[in-house]
Amino acid sequence: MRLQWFGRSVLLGAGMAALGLAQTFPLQMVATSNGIVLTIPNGQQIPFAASVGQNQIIQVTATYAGSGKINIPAIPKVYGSNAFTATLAGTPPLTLNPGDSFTFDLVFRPTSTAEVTAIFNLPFTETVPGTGSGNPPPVVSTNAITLNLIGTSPSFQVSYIKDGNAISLANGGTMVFDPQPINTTVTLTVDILDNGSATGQINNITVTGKAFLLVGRPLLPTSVPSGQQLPVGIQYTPTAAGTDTGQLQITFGDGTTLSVGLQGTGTAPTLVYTLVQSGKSTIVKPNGTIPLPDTNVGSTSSLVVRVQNTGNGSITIGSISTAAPFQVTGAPLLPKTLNTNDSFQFTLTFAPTASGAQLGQLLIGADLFNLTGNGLGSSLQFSYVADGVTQTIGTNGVIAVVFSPVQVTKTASIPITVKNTGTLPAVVSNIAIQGANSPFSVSGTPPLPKSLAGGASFSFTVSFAPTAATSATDTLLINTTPIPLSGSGTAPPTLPAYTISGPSGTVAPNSQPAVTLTLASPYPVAINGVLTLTTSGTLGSDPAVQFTTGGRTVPFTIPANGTVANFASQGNQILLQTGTVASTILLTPSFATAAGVSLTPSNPPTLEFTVPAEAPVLIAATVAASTANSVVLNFTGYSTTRSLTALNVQFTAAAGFSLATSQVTVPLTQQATVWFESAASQGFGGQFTVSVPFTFSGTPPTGTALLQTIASVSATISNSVGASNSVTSPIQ
Amino acid sequence: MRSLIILFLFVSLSSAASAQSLSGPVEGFIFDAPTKSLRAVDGFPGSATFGPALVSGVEYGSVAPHKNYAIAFEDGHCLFVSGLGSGHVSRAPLAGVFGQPDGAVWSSDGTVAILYSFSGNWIQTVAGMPKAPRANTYRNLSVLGGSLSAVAADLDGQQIAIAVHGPKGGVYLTKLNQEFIPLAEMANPIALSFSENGANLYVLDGGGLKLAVITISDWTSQVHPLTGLRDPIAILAGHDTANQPVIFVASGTDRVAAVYSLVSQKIETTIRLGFQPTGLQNLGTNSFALGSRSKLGDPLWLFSTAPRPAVYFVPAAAGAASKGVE
Repeated sequence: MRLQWFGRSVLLGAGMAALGLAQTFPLQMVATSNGIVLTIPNGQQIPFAASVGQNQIIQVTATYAGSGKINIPAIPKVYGSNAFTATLAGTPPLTLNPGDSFTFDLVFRPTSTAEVTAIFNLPFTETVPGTGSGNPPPVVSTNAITLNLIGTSPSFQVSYIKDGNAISLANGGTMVFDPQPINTTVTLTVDILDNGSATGQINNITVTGKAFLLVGRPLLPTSVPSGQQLPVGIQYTPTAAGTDTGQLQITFGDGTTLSVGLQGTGTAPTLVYTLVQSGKSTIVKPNGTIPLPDTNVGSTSSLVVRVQNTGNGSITIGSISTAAPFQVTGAPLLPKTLNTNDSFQFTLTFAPTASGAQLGQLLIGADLFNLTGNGLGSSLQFSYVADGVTQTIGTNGVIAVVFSPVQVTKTASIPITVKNTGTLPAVVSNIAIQGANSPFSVSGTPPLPKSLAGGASFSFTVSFAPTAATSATDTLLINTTPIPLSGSGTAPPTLPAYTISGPSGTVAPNSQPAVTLTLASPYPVAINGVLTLTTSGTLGSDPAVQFTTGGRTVPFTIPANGTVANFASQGNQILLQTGTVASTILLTPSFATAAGVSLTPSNPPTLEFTVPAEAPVLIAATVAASTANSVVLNFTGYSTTRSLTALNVQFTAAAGFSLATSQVTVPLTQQATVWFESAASQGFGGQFTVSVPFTFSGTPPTGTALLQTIASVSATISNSVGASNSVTSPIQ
Repeated sequence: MRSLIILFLFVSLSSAASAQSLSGPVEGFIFDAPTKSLRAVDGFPGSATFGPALVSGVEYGSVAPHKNYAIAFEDGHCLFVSGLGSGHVSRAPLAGVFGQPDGAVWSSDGTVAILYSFSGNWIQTVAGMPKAPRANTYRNLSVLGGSLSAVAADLDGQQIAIAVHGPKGGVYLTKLNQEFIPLAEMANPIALSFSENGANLYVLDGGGLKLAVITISDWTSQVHPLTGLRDPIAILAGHDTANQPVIFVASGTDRVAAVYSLVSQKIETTIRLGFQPTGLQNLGTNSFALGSRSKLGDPLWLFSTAPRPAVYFVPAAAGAASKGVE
């Protein structure tokens, strides 16, 4: 039977049990220690465990279980080790009747951690009445309480490991951590070794000090067998530069306590940033602001930034960065490690490209600084109002001046405001629309160049007058800043009714009538038009049918809000030649805006008139050549039928003479056909010159040429329609 | 009484070779300044058109009245151009010409041309045309003490009249290479024209808007007011359809072409113009160029005297100036 008692497994005397079978021990013993009660047989091996210098007392109460009497004559004795002592309660001799008890204490007080053994012996006698008949005599036997005592003693040794070395920790000692950068953690292991002979107990382990933390703590109390150790960790996490203290306290099972101080040093670098400018130094802290001096746009200003580590820890600066309009120059090669009191410096430059407040940031390692500077200069801002909302170019996605759709012939206007948001005066030298012949225009601009003080502004107007029903873009230039312009035109108003006034019905050939064109009502924009003349007929086209300006088209304009067409800048009427060929002449106008948007109705009213096929007309008769007895006569005229049948010539004799034959008919059909079908005649339309030689014969008076006898000649010419007028020419 | 002579009029009517012929009427030939060319005016007024350029690249030209030859200047050189309208135009250098003139006037027979320069104050005659054109001596008119304002030639160019304006202004007559004979003192003579028979010289007096008629034979003169005209600028002697002598007058700012009858001594016909006339230049038998073309889109305005006085336009000629003979 094995019991666990005081941590030791105790085998209850099996031998004694076997012995018990042979003889019943008259005393029943109960051992009590630390509240634990255990019945122990005689001869039991009783373990004791106590720390050196500490007592463990087991009180044994023996009760006579016999029927006679027990006599204890003397005090008990302990043989073996001085670590054990025994005391009997009461003064011997002691007599016990059945059921009586007596106690004795067994005390173990080790003086070393070695295991010791002893034997407890307390002799006694027992008188038991004889049994049997005959008044037997009592039986007296001698016996003894014998207990085997074994004593062990735990002993703890505490140490910690640092740098691979074990360092003992005595009560009141100090466990020192190496300097540790703040916000970092180091853990040292504390070993609690039971180097005694008995299992020791650790009741509690505590760590105090805000920088220290017990880690790996087992469930307590816990036992540590002899030769075993219990490791725990002490974690040190400094949060600030400087010394940290704490305490480690181990409470053992025997009530003793080991208290050890904990000490560590938090290390941290401390960067001090100093601004050096114009011989003056100013310290700036991270997240603070570094102001750069006001600087003209296009110029630079700078200051020196000095970085020094005044802390007790080193630090590595990995990067130094900023962004335009600020820049860093002269920085050391990075990464740069600064040990205590080390420093470096660099130049911080402000190079504004725009006027006004400029903000930035400087990042040195993990330290951020706000940079400010003021760019001195002018800055022009452009804005306009659309639907009551101010649109500033370059903000909120506004990149252009956009017009709502505008009908061709109408104009929309948007006021543009130019404001100098800078700190220095700005000069506006140019306001113009970039494109030529643009539908966009500017007006209301101030006299240029204009100086605009900081904060001042002026306005002008951009107008959009679309010339076509399409989108339009252009660029507004203010100085050299381009501002896109965009708009779209919608279809122009319908052209009003118009009247072409001129010849109508049948018109005389070889005439030059006038034509005018008038709108029924004004049109809002200027109109460019073309009046086109076409001919139709079976006799070909007469090239003489033209306008004054040459050709068969003539441009005209109608001013905005006007009604009367001006032809080729020559007036409000245009003349045309009707020619000399029977044909139908048609005048067709077309209309468009100045930009070319057609306004021509689908079926534009036209003017039509006809040169009729009629009898020829003679214009003149002339003497082309003459001799004494002959004359060549030219008869000039036109035939709108482009045909001739005959020339009838009538000579008139001079006074005092008569002609036997005065009338001659010259057939012309064949020659006229040849002429009018020839290519040479095409350029003359129905015009012709008939040249006829006449030879006279006769006998005039002496001194008189034959030709002198003829005064004049008259002629008519005919075609299929009829005969012409008569023309006369003197012969002389 | 002379006995009546009965004449037999015979006209060849052979059908095998018809003597009569038809052609297109050509009113005349003219220098067209906008196209720098010599061109025909085809057709008669009312249906006339410019023909194609016969000679191109001409800086100045002047066509003999009712003839087919002309004096032209090309690249500063003087040429005699002939054969206009014949299909074979020829050009021959005319040496000895002083320089490109401001204008030229011709004798009625077309044998003599007087080149003149208002700015240079000179005249130079070219005679012998068409067969043997030759330039005579250039004559500087500064000796007369005034500035040349008009030139005229008579029927055969034997008499040349010049007008100078200025404090010593007047009208002078000269025969070829002879002295200038003063005919009349006149501060502002504007235009000159010989009568068709050369007996009279007509002078347009700008000072009093009068027409002076100088009889060449005796240098006597008569003055006729040109009532109704505010700005006469050119005159040209001619005859009407009744063969009566008349003076054709162009009046500038009042835009009038008028026919002044020397018989009735009054303006018989006034035609209102839609343009401002620039002169009177012979073109056809019965027509004058009344307004010259200054730019391509301008028509040529003609004053036709038959069958009745009327003004017609010739539509603007197409095309820009180019070099060469067409």
